[in-house]
Amino acid sequence: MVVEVNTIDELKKHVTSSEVVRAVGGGSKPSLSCNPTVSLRNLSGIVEYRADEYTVTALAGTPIGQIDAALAEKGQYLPFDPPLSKGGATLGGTVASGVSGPGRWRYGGIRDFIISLKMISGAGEMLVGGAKVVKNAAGFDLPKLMVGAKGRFGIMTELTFKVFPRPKAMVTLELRCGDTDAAVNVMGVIAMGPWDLISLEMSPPDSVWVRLGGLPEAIETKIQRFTDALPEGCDVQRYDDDESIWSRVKEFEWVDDQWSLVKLAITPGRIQNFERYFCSLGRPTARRYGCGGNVLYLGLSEVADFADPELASLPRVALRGEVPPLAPAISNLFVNRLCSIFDPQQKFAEKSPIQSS
Amino acid sequence: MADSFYRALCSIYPKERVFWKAAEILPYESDGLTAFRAKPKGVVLPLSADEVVKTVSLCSAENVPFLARGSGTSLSGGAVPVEDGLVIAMNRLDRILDYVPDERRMVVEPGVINAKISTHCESDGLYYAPDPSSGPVCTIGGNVAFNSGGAHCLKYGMTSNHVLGLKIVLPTGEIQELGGSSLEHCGPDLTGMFVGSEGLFGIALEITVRLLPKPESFFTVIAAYSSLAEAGHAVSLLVASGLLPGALEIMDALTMEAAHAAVGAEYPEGAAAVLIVELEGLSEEVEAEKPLLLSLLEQSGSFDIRPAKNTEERMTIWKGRKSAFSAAGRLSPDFIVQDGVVPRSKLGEALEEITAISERHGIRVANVFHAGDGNLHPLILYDGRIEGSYEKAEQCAAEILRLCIALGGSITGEHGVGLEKLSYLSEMYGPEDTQFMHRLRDAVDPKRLSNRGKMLASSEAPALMTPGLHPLEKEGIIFRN
Repeated sequence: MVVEVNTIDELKKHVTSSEVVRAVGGGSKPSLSCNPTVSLRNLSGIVEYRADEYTVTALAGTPIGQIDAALAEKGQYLPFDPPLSKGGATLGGTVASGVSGPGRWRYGGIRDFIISLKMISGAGEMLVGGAKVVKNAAGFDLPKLMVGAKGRFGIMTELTFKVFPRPKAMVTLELRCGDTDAAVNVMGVIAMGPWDLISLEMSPPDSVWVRLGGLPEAIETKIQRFTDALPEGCDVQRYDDDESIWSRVKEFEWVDDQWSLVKLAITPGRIQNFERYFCSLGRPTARRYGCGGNVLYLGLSEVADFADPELASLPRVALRGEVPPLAPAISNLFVNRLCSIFDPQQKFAEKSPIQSS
Repeated sequence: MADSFYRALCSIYPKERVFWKAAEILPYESDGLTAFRAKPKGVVLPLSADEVVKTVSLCSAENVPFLARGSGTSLSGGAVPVEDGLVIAMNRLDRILDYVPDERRMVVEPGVINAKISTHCESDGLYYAPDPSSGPVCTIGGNVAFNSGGAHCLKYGMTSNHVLGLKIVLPTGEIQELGGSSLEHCGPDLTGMFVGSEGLFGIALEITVRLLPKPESFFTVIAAYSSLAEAGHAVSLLVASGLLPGALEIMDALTMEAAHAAVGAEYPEGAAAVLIVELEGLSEEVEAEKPLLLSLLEQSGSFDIRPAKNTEERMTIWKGRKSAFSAAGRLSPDFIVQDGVVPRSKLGEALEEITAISERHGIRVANVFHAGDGNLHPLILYDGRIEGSYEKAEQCAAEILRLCIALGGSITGEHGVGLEKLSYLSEMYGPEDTQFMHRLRDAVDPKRLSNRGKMLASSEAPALMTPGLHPLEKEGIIFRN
C-alpha cells in the first residue's frame, strides 16, 4: 500500500514508523520508484520564487511543469533542463534520479544548480543542507550528495535551485554528417569551439543536433559563422520553431514506451566503439548521446547483459523497465560510512548495492 | 612516542623530506589567516600518492592528527596545522597526469597550482574556470578541500562544479575513487560531497577537472558611483535585465585607494564605489549585449563609465581588483578578510549595516565584493601591535557574520569555515544540523585525525589564536614596510 502524505510531519511519521521506505513522486521513472511505500505527490508547491535572486524553492513533490511555467513568466528557466515533465516528473524525483535534459550542455547539470534542501534521514531527523544563496561554502554539501543517490540517504522534502535568464531566441540545427565516425568527429570539433551552445547531442547513425541561443539581434550572424566553420560534408537542416524537437528528446518519445530505458555516464571517445557494438547486436536498440557525448540514453527491446566489457563496466541507472545486471558492485567505503549515519537502519537501502560513480 | 613516530616516517621518506627542527617547521605554523598559528610535530614532503597513503595509514595507526597543506593561502585558517600533529606538504605532488583536450578534461595531482591548469591548456583554447584571487599561487588540492570560488561563480559555479572525479585517501588510510571522467554521474554525487569538506573526509590524491573553451570575446567596464548603495542598486538592475555577465564586482573607495597604491590601478576621481562588469562569450553576442549594458549603467546613475578599450586595459582592471586583499596591507598592518554571502537584493542593506558596525567600533572596513553572487569581502583593518585591537576587529567581524546569517545568507562563500568561523557554523545551520555533520565526520574519521579542529568545533587541541606579529616577523625573518 502506498501512503499519501499531506504534510512533512506525516512523512516524518511514515519514515520513523516503517522498516522499509521508498518514495515516489510522479512515477515518471518507474524503475526507480518501484514498490513505493509513500507518495510525495501532495507535498507540492512553490515555496518561494525570487526572480531577482535567481533562486526558486519548492516542495519535493512539485511537478517540473509547474516550476517551468512559473519561471517562464519571468523569462527564466532551470538550465539543467529537467526531463519528463509531461510524464509527471517532480523536483525530488529529478534530483534523486540525477537525470538532466539536453540543456545541461550549456551551464551544467542538476549538481550545478541545486543549492539547498531540507530532508528527512532514516532516523527521522529533519536536516537542512546548503543555503538559499547562489554561493556558499559552509558545511558539508548535502544537496550535491542527494543528486543521483536514488533516495539512499533520505527523503528530500524541499529543494532550492539557482535559476538563470532563459535565452530570448533559440534555433536548432541538425547536421547530417554522413556516417557515425564523421558525426562523432563533428561533435568533438564543435565542443572545442567558443559557441556557447545550449545543447549538443548526437543521434545515431550520423546526426549531430545543436541548439543555439541568445539575443535575437545576434542569432542570425552566429548561425552563419557557426555553419561556415563546420567541417565539410555536413548537411545542415535548420529548425526555427524547435520546442517540439527538444520536448520529444526530453520526454524520451524516441524510445518505444514498452522498452527499457537506461542512462549511462560515458566519455565522448567511446561512442564509436559503442556504436559498433550496438550495430552488431542483431536486436533493436534506441540510442541518443547527450551532453556532448557524456551521457548515453539507451532504449532496449529486451534486457540482457552487455557482452561488451567496456559498456558492462560503466555506471548506469535504469529509468524504465528492467536493468541489465549491474556491473560488479563497487563496495564504496565512503558511501557505506555516510549511510551508517544517514540511514542506520537501512530503511532506504536498495536490494542491489548502490553503484557509485 | 615522538621518536618512534619520527623513525616510522623515516622508513617512508628520506630524512631530507622529513622536517622535525623548529626552524624547518616554522613556515608551516600558519596560513593566509595570520592571526592563528599552531606548532606541528613535524612536516613531511611526499613526492607520490603512495607516500601520502602510507603517511595517512601511519598517522591512523599511531593516532597522530594530520593536515594536508598546499600553498597555505587559506584565508579561513584552514591550513593552520593541528597542534602537535603532522603536516603533509603536498606541493611536490604537482604533476599533470592526463590531459584530454578533445574531451576537455585534465587529471592533476593536488599540488598543481590553480593557474597552471589554464596555462597548460591555453594553446588548445581551453581554460579552468574557478579563479580565486590567489590563483597564481594556490594549489588545486586546497581549492578542492575548501571549494574555492572567485569572480565568475554566478555564471560558472565554484570549484565543486568543475571537479568531475577524485581519487582520495580516507582518514583511515583506504583509497577510494569518487566520480569519474564523464560530465554526468550515475549514483550519488560523492565528488560533490567531498569537495568543500575542508580536509575532514581525507586527502585528494588525483583530481579530474573539466575545462571550458575560452570565451572568444570580452567587454569589461568600470562604472563609477557616488555611493555604495547606488552601485548595489545597479547590480540589481543588471540582473533583472536578463543579462548574465561573467563577473560583477564592486570596490569601495578605501579598496580603490589600496589597489592604486599597490599596483597603480586608476579609478575615476570622486568615486565612492566602482562596479566592474564583464560580458563574455561569442563576439556577436557580446556586441549585441554591449549597448544594453551601457544604457543600463547610465540609467543606474553612474557618473563615469569606462569600457576597457583593449586586453591590456582589461587586465589592468582585473589586476587592481585581484590585488585588493594583498593591497589592504598598504592601508593597515593587519586585517581580517571575510567572505560572508547575502541575498543579492539585500546587498544595499548589508553595506549600510557594515558601515554602521564599522563606525560603532571605530574600525575601518574596506569593502570589495563579488556583487553578482552577493559574496561580501569586508576587509577589517587593525594593527596587531596595539593591544586589544585584534579583539575589536574580531568583534566587528562577528557582527558582520551574524548580519549575513540574519539576512538569509551564508557565513562563507568561498574561503570555508576553517578555524576562523568555527563558532558560526552552528549559528547558521542550528545545533542539530551541525551535530549531524559531526556524526558524518566521525563515521568517516572515527579518530578525528584529518584536519581536526577545522569546520567543526571540537574540544581537542584548538589552534592557538595569536593576534599580533606573524611568527616570521617575531623571528626577525620578515619585516613590515
